[in-house]
Amino acid sequence: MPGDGGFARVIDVLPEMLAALGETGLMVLITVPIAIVVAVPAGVLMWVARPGGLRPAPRLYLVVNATVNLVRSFPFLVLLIAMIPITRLIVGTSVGTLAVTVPLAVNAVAYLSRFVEQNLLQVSPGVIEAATAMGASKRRTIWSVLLVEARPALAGSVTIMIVSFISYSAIAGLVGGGGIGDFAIRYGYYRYETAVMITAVLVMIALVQLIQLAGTLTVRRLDKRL
Amino acid sequence: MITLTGVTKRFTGPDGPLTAVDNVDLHVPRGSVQGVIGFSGAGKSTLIRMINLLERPDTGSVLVDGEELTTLDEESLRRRRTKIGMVFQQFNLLENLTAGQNVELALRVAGLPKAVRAARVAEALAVVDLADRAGSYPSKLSGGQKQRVAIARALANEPSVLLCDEPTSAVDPRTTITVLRYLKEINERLGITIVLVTHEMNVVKAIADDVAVMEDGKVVEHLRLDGSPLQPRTEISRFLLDDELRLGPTDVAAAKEARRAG
Repeated sequence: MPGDGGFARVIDVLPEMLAALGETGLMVLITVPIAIVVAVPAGVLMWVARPGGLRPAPRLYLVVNATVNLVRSFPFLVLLIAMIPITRLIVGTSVGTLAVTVPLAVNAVAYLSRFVEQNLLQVSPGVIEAATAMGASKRRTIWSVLLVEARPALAGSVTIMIVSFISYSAIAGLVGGGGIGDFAIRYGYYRYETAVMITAVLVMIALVQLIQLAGTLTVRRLDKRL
Repeated sequence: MITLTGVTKRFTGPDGPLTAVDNVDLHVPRGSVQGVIGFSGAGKSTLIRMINLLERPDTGSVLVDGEELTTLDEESLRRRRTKIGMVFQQFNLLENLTAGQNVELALRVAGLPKAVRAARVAEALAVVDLADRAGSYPSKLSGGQKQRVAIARALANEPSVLLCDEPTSAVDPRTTITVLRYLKEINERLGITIVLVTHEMNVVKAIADDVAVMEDGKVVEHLRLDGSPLQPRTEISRFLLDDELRLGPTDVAAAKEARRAG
């Protein structure tokens, strides 16, 4: 039943919209921890191995660096499709919310790794040098100095990643990923139910504002520089 | 006690190879204060950083308390460094840790158990009269207070040597006096050997027993500061000792003078 049913339709599709929100939540809940767990070490690795780093390893740096760039060069839609065989291997299927988390996670890891590396490069080299002069091991320098000083910036990067994530998850709707973005496309674009689409977009605006607010508050709490 | 013998360090700069430190010998007796003075690029900062091997000399020997550092493996060097304190021009405190946590970091690095750390932190901060600011983050401290926290951090592991790389170059003249008073007190009371790098003659005159004057990577002269009148032999020493800023005539003034004469 395509066509514009006005805002009265919003009530009808409310359960579906809530389900879509739940799917978005699920995608975030699975992907964000994976992204953090993989991207922070990857970012640290690039920081450590870079030329002039704590323990330069030019070849390793080149490989990680190129891999991160490679993943980031894919338009997300193409990555999504290109990864179908791998997704099927990991999740057993290439459709549905769970399947979509695979390319989403890969994409998030690549972006967040780069963010992390950039955040770490902002840490004052003087502080790292002070740690070395103190007699700190490389591991200690990373854990107790580098990551401590980068903490507020890292929280900011994770926030940016989660927000851009909501936009990526909409594209994931193409392979039945679900989620609130996909919901907006389905009703707004395929069914011309403008009112429903507008409502979904408003929900997303609220969602992004909330995430950003939570992120900003976290950064403010962590950052002791002011 | 510190003995540098024939240390040389070369860098590849933007204008080709550069000998930052050129075959320098330096002996610093235990419990003394050694000043190192020179202009920017004279190699003084590289020299002090070779004492704890932040810069590894290309050639030469670095003896600290009778132990050769250049041949130590990474782990031994790490342990050795906990007994060589260092303070920097820019303080280099962790901004996201309190003053107390900054000091405690040095103790954690040295592997001290938690039970004894709190007392040692309080002790170290008390030396610089900042025991009451243990809970303050560096952003809430003045430049002088930050440098004092950095000094407390450098002292926490009871080092035998304290390296000071331009410790007063980022603070105002009054704070300079405060910082130097603490360093002097630390040297006298705790018997810690101090090496202090600066470009200000007044700073070393206030505190050092001997000043090594550096130019182009070499120590060109030693000035003994034992109260007897200084007799600088080199031009650079005379320049550094002259605390008046002589600008010389500007181009405009010179042109005016020429017009009047012509």
